[in-house]
Amino acid sequence: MYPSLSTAAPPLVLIVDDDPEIRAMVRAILTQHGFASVEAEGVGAAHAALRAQAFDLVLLDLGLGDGDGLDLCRRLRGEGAQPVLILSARADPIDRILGIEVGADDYLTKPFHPRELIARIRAILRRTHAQGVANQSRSASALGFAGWRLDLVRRELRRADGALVHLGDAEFEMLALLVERAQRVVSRDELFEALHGRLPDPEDRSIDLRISRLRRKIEIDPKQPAMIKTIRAEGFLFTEAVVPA
Amino acid sequence: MSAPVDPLRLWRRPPAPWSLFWVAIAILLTTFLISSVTLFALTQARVDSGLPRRVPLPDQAAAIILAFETGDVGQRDLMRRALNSSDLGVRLLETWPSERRRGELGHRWMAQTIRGYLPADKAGLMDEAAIWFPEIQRPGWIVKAVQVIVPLSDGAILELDFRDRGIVFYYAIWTMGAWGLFALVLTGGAIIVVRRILAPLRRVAAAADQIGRDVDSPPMPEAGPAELRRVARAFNAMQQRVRDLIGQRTRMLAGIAHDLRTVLTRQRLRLEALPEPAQRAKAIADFDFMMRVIDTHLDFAKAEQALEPPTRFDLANLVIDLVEDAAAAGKNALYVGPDQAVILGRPDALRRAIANLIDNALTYGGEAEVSLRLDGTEAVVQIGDRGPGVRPADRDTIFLPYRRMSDAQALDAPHFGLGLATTRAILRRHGGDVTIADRPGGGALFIARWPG
Repeated sequence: MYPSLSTAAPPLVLIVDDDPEIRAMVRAILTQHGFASVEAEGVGAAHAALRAQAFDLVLLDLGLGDGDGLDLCRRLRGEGAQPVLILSARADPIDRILGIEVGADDYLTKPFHPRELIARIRAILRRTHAQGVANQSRSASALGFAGWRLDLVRRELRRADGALVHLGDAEFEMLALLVERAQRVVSRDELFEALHGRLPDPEDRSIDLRISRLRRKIEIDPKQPAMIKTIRAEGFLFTEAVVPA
Repeated sequence: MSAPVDPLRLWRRPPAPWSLFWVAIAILLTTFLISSVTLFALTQARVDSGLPRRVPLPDQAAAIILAFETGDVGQRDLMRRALNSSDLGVRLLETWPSERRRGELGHRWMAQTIRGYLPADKAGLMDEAAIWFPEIQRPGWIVKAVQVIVPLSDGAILELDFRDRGIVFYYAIWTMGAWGLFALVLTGGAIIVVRRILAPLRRVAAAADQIGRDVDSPPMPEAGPAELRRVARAFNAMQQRVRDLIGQRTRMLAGIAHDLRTVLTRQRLRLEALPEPAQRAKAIADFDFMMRVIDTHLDFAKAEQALEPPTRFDLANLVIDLVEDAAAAGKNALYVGPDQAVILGRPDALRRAIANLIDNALTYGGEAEVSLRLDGTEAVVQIGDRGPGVRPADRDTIFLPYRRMSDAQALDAPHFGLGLATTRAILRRHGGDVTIADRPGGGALFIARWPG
């Protein structure tokens, strides 16, 4: 169904949330988008499920009936296995930073747009998959190129002198995808799908607008782009060498 | 807190008129003036006793000269003997003494005073006279003796030798000089003393001003005179109460929002299952509106607390993004400024502050021309529109929460009357502020500045 995620079995997601209705509805959305999932209503149930089988990703609520999701996240990442996407009603930026610091791969605030949830899940899976193939390690939480540093968990871009350059959510996702796939062509459809979890209308120009915005931010001469090149009829190519940073 | 006052450096800015400073100085100086005038008048009255308003030594000299000039020549020796005493020698000379020149005036004022006391037809006698101080020639110091030599019209030469008398004449000048010096010392001393007294009061005023802008500014030191220690303590307690209140309000709002979010999450997911696309789109739009109400109020509550850590970031890039977003949505927005401007600050908060100003300009002023410059240590962002402008009377109240430029604006305004209030709170947390001016050519100009 989605060529960019063609694996033999559908990815398996563990949904940890103490609200049964939310669990059921998230599960329905996941199923609709081709994921398999298991529900757990608290810390205890999550541990039991994790002992029983391996998951590709854990969707984690923070305020659980029998414990704090942050502690569970810390322990999960201590064991170093599956990526974690925190899904929480705590909306303060400080909560997001806390979550990232205990090892979550991403943080999404409730309530969320279902498409946004699917896009974030796909981004994490894409990232862990790519890194898993490359060096069997998940340590690279940031990528460096030409003096720039793209922090994948804090979702921020900094220049060589440490100055932060603001990226919108969509710009961040696009740049992350291009940088992770450096020296390989990324098609327009792949970019769009990574952003919206669906294929674009033929008339949609938002990809081009965002690419030109990215170029304005990172290219020395945005009119003569050297980093993000347009490959006619194919897509875009990120040309710089990328290293874990 | 302001640095301790250096008593030698007087001031960075002169104190305002009618400040406690000038009032205290004025009271001190008036007291001094009244007392010195009184004292001077008393001294003069004692010296002048019997002959009010005549200076005794020149008056006596003039009287003697007039008596010898107009009196019987045969009585001159008798008069000389009658006047001679231990402090006045009167002699009649045959010839002008060789060591003195005619018209040599050691003290011009004395000569003129003597001349003034002579009748008009005899004043010419002083043209040829000589006056000098045999012991000390410098006037203004204590003078022990004065000699006056006057040629009389019949050729005789009268010599008056006042001893231990000059001191009386110079007493007045010396007193005035001493009082003047005293006045200078007293004024200088008064300025320093009053400043020292007022320094803690100024610190209290500055701290109160600072707390009014940023409730998390450090408490004022409880030091100095007892009265001011009390003021400082009361201020610190008040600041703590205000801070607690704001913290409580923010926590309460965050608590409400958190509890609502869980319910709203279910609601949002249910909406996704609505079968009819048009109904679903409408329901989702209403839902997003509700979320915006919650987020806008939380933004405002949090604008007064600094949760986001400051970092170095590119302000120009952030402003250009906002202008591009508006332009992409078909609005009339324009950016004028550098491509890069790296400053230290809280990027999310500042982004919200400037976004609100741009929204405000587009909503009420039809366009937004956004300019950016780094002015020394200051970042200045100006947003100009072509709306009706803001009347001077409204330029402060417009930043109060839930105020709008016009009541006709319904709830579909993007910030529910909190946008400008949020902007001002954020800028004040950054140590800056936002002000309004008239834009040349019509419209309002919102000027946001803060130390970058």
